[in-house]
Amino acid sequence: MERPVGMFSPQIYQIRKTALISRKAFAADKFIASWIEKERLLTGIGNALVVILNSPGCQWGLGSEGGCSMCGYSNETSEGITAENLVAQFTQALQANAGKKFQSVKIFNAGSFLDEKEIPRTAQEVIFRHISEIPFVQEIVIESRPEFVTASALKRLTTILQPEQILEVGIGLESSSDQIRIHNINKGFLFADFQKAVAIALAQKVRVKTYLLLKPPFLTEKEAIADAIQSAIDAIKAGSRSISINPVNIQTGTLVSVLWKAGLYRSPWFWSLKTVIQTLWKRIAEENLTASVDRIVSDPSGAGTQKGIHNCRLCNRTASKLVKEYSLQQDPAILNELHCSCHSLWKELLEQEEATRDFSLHFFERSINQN
Amino acid sequence: MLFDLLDISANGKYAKVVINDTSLVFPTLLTLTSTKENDINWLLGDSGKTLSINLPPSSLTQEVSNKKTTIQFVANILMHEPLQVSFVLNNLQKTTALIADRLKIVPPENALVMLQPNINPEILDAVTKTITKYKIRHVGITNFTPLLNTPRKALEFILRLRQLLPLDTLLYLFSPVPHTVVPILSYCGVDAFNSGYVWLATKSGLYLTAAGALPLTQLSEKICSCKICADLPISDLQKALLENNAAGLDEHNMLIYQAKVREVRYALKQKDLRSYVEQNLFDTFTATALRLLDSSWTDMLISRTATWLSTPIYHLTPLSYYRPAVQAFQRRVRERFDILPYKKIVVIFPCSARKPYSFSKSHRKFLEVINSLPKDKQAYIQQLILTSPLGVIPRELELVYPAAHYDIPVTGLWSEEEKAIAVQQLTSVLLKARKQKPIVIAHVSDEYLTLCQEAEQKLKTTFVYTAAGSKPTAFQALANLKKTLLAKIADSPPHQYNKDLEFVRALSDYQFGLGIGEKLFPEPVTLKQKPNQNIFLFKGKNRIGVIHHRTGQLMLTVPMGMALAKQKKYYLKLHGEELKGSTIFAVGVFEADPEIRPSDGVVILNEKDELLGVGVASLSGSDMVSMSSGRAAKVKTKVKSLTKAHSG
Ligand code: SF4
Ligand SMILES: [Zn+2]
Ligand SMILES: [Zn+2]
Repeated sequence: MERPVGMFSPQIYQIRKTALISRKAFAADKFIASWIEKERLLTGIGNALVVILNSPGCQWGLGSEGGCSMCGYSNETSEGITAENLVAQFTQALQANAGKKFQSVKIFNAGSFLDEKEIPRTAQEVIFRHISEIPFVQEIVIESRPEFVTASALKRLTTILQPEQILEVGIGLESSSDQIRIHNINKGFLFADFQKAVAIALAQKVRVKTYLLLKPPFLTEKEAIADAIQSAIDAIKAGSRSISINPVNIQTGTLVSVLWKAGLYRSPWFWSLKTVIQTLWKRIAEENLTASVDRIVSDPSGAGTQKGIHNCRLCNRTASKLVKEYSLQQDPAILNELHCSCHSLWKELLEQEEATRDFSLHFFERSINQN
Repeated sequence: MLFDLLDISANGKYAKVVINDTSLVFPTLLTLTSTKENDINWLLGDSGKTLSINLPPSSLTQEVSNKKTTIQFVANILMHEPLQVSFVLNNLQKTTALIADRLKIVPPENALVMLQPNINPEILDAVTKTITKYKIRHVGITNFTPLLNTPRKALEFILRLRQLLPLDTLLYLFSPVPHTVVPILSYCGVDAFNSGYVWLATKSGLYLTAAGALPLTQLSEKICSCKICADLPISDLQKALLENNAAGLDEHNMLIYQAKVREVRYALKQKDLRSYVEQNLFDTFTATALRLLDSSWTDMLISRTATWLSTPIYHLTPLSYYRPAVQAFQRRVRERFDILPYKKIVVIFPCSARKPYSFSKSHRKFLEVINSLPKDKQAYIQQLILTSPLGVIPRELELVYPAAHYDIPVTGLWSEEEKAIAVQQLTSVLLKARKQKPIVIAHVSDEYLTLCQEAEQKLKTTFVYTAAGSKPTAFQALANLKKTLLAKIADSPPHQYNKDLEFVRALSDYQFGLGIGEKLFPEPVTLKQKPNQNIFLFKGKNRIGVIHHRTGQLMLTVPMGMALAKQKKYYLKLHGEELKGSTIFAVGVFEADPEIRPSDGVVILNEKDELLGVGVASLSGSDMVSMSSGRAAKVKTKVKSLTKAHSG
């Protein structure tokens, strides 16, 4: 596949190269993290086991095009990880959570599970065999760039699973706009590639969860809100029944973090996420898409911190809680419980940012965070 | 677009600009408005008439709206500081091609380009070249707020722009900034400010005052009685705010912001924005920026600061020591003043609160002593006045701005900084007479005496102290001075003394360069002055010139102009054979002496170096050449017949 290269690619590559020099070493046999979390399942609220594997990392991110402008996952990867290492990591993660009940397994490997350069075929299969043996697990979620979503790759895995177990592939579409995905994000694939991957997955009875990025760099907050809403609609229309909205969390060794340090980037506001979610549900209803949607979730990392999605000192905690609650209940009205005087400042900043294209206006939030 | 620069004070411009028949005065405000159709536009102008500006495009896509506004964005340059230089330069080429294309539809005088702060010289060079090449007159700046934490970078960026772009390019700061930094940024060269800070402050619950912003909830009594505050009790203002309905607060805040901009305009009209900036030291940005300006951007500031003003200078802060006018005066004294070879005695006097010094009680006493000496011996004496922060003022230059205009609290306490400046200036002036080795009589006491002792050490000479231990005006001290002076000149032969000639020559040297006085006035002249009136120069019975008593400036006449033109000093050159009207426009000036500063007297030459007339500069020499619109100088006297006036 031809990978479209964004305008910031050379600089992103440079930043990544420098960051990788100080990449922390992880033991090849140790998984990075695992936990149980409350999750919105297809059947309602349940528990999910999350496993983060120590893998060789995303080949797009580590390649000469530099990877995506906001992604620092490559910091948590290691060289020379073998199939045996990966299997060992997974079984250890299972042991660590032995006795706990969960209905979903989510595997993250800082890249594409379906890329055999990252997760060798044997490892993919052994891990899936393990999952197929866990009682009660109904959902398995993995992540992959669209180019690895092929019929044969999916078939290999689905045949291992039990018939009632559902596989969902998470694809980081980020935005349905090619301009934004290629240049602002440097994602390296087209919306058409995503559409093709969704079609392939659906044909294999594999579901697709679409990850959307809230506020790629060089977009105003207003543009970011509009883009996230439109992207979700486009992804749903392409056949993705799950949508996950990911507000940017600033990770080291990324272009976004370089901009942030220069004062030229602010992670999105909770108010913006609220707008995205509520407007999105309205649009879904307007466009008669309700039946095409299973869930629209958001599980922001770094929520309430300066690097992650945040409002003001006074309401960050409540906002985080409400977003979590919304994701579980899938009731956008929950977000109406958020009240804070920073709302009107947010609105004003949005206007000013749109009209000045000044990305540094968070300077003016100091006074509300001091009182 | 008609650009009329009315007044200038450093990089601050008071200008009238006419675009598409609408006339605006700068500096002014940019305000965001939304029309009935919910269409958002910028409005430029803060009093009555306004011009519309569309919203800037994204720096990545450069997509512009096709809204019909008077001023139109043609590009938003992708030059954010963290981006790789090679990438920015590369991308700029594409954007430049796009600009060229858009300028086929948008006339350059209506075109606006947005920039991001970046101090890389290569980038600034390339960007400003594009702007100048396409004659774009409107330049926007955004993403500026991080620079409020780094004044050095903020100055570097804005002043480099002001150096690289012609003065008639208007700089619009789209990033909202607090009103307290408006004066300093205007002094740096920003022409329009986004009033958006008003709403950001309002929505943050801040109540603006002239000096800053107060949290509204903390107020317990009314501070202002503008029409909003007068009507609304403070508790209602606070309640409105808590209910997220900032009724009134925004209007009050807007009045405060507007007042700041209007006060800046007033200060510019007085040609003294500097004083207003010093009165506005309300935040660390202003204080740091002013200090850095004075130390790192002196030449640029001086070149755009009027040499001749009549307004008083109040000493408000130690930063006043380094005002461009003060530094320029010290520099001219060092470079353009000389102690004449026949001066055998230098007398140092302390300054007085009353200016000019000669009018003060103390100096009248000092002068009485000098005048009581034999007429034919007075020529041997050079008087110097020791003062802060100007350092040393030769008696001949005591009328000159800012020597006669400086008002410093006389406390008798000198800071280390003031002392250092004065000692440095004194030693460098005394060094001028190192060949004739004059006797230095320091008729000073207290702090002044300490200063003289420091200078003495530095120069490795000894001064004679005639007022040590008493007041310099004390009878005993004055008698001592007279006795000492008489003793020192007793053996010297009589020497012809034309005090008035020395005066005008020293003044001419100060104005136009060392040695010019002799060229302008080869023969004796006499001065006549009535109190509070201009001083007239006479040659015999003929009036040949005038010195403006409020500024101390010698006004050029055609004969003086001819002599000056021969020296290739303070000249500007025009295309064309004769002067039409009383204004010289910058567009016609193709060469000018870079020494020229606003308000300096200038000679006006044609391409063949023939004198066309004399006038007064409105701009610096280099701005006259680089600007393509606006007034460069005012003509005072035209030459009647060219043949007579050939200067070559
Ligand atoms: S966001 Fe995904 S595709 Fe992009 S670099 Fe990171 S892991 Fe790779
Ligand atoms: Zn808040
Ligand atoms: Zn008021």
